[in-house]
Amino acid sequence: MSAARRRLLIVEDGHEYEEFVRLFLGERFEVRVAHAAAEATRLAREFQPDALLLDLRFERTPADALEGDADDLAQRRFGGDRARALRHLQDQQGTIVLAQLRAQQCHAPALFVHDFPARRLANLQQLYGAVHAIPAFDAKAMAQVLGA
Amino acid sequence: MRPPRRVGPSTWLLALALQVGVGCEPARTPVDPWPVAQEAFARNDPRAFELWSTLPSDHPAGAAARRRLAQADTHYQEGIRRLAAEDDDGAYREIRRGLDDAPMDPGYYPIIARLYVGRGNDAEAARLFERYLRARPRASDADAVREELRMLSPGASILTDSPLPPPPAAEPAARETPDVPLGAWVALGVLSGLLLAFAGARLVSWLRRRGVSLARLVREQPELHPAIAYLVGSLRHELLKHRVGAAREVLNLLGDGESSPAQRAFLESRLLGGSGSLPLAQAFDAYLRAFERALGGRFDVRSDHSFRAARDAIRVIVDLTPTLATRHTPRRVRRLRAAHAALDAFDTSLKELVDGLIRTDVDSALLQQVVTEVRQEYAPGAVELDSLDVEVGEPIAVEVFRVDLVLVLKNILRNAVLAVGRAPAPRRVRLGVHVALEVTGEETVHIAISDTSDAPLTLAMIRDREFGRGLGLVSAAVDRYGGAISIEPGPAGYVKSVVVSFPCAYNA
Repeated sequence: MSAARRRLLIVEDGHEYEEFVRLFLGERFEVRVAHAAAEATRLAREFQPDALLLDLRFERTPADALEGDADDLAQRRFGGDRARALRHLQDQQGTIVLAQLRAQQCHAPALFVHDFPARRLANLQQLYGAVHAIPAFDAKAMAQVLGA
Repeated sequence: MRPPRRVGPSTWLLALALQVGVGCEPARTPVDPWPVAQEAFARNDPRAFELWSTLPSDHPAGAAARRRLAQADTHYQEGIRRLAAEDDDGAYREIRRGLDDAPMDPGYYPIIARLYVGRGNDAEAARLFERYLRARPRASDADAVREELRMLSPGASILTDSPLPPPPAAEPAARETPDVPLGAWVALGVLSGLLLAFAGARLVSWLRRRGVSLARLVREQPELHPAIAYLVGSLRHELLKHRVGAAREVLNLLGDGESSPAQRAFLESRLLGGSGSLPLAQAFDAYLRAFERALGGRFDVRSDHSFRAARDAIRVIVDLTPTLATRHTPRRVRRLRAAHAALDAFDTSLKELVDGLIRTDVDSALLQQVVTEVRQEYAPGAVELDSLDVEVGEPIAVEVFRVDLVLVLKNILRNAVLAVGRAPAPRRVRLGVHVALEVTGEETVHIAISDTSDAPLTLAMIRDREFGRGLGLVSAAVDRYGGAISIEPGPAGYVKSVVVSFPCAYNA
């Protein structure tokens, strides 16, 4: 039974995704959890996940632990306002972590629980290959997308 | 022409208080509320928050103040969450970050105070209850808070004191009372009466204007669209999708009689709070306060049917779901399903609202309009150009009101045309649009106005308005819509480009 379980790497700033998956999909997945990009890339190497489940907003992650160049972003997009750039990095951290994982050759299908506009999801798929999104926590849909 | 400034009643009443406070001083120009608000914050005055959040929406500092309040609020909420989870260092860090930005909503004081009570820190709890009562002595829960304070500190001065006087502005220097003739007192009385009548009229007018629904605010104040889009996005993602959505999963299992105690415990934590999160109903109210603060006080949940219905639905879900396992009756399940359906409808209405926010297509029609209007400002031949090209790719939208975008582009183009007019040939100007795909999957629309003038131009010049009001307006308008402006080397054949960038607008 356990041999059939798929390996799932969850990346989030809290524990909600992990709790949900363990409670409702625990029999189908062997789970590892990372709370920051560096930890995620390390686990991706060691654990070789079959699928990724990513939070989008990392509001509880301190600014200095966020992945992404806040100064560059502030200059390019926010008129030099670093606070806005940091806020943006927090709000979009899941996609930035995914970029890191793909750069480390982790190409497992990725799932976000977020209702991305269609064009933005298409952009993510163009950038990162297999990327899926479901609008809300739904165990059945999650299992289906993650191939369990 | 710039419309006359609208001023809220608190501003007028504050101005009135200042007039009365200075006795026989001559009438002053209306008091700018922003320095008063900043000073109150610096003084740690518990009413600083009210002064910040009631800044008129068209005050030059209003948008920045609201942005800072919203930004600080996320830190304060996180601080409370960490405090509840007994992560004191994290809580301190978050609250400190909030205080770097803007004052705390006094509504949080009792919440934090109760957390302190739970941990036996009665002195700090009493201090916060007292602070709350100083900030909001007539709040609907003020009596209850007084009782809580009385239990902790029966001798607290706030329980017997009269409310604080109005926050001081620039304190008048101490002086001797002059010997004022009777005529001056009469004149003062008449003036005060007029001021009172005027303030009353403003108050009535303000009361008529306030308390509008979010949909009406969207129609009437397009400058708030970016803030509304952000707030709605947060509410939908964090609360409706994550917390309510997860709770619904358990409801489905409970309905099938398949839930485990662990799953039910999970549900309770999602609904009733815990693990550092506020209870669902309280979290929803916190979002509503964030809306009201960030939108300048005009949005009022009591005037918004969809928000009221959502709040009612959340109450039903919070009340009924935790006991569903033991009291699983068809009627309760029906009520719960109806509540979830109401929240779905609420979510759909928010999505439709955001889909309808302002957006302007950046296409050749827009750029041609800009070129035509700028060229019409000058007599033919006054500024000889060798070329003025427009290059646009695929049409794409930005969340900027069309009038403002045209204003921004016209000012930059006008500056470019005048600069090349003073420069040797070839005199060329080009408008081009480039869409950049970000690593987040978002797109940024860059509109570049390039020219062949080698006259120096820097961002500091634009922000300092060295070129007059026009480019200063550009900077202000770009900031207002969350965009950016930069000066870059021009493409081949051009010296430099002024580039304005805005996030691409999507349907939600």
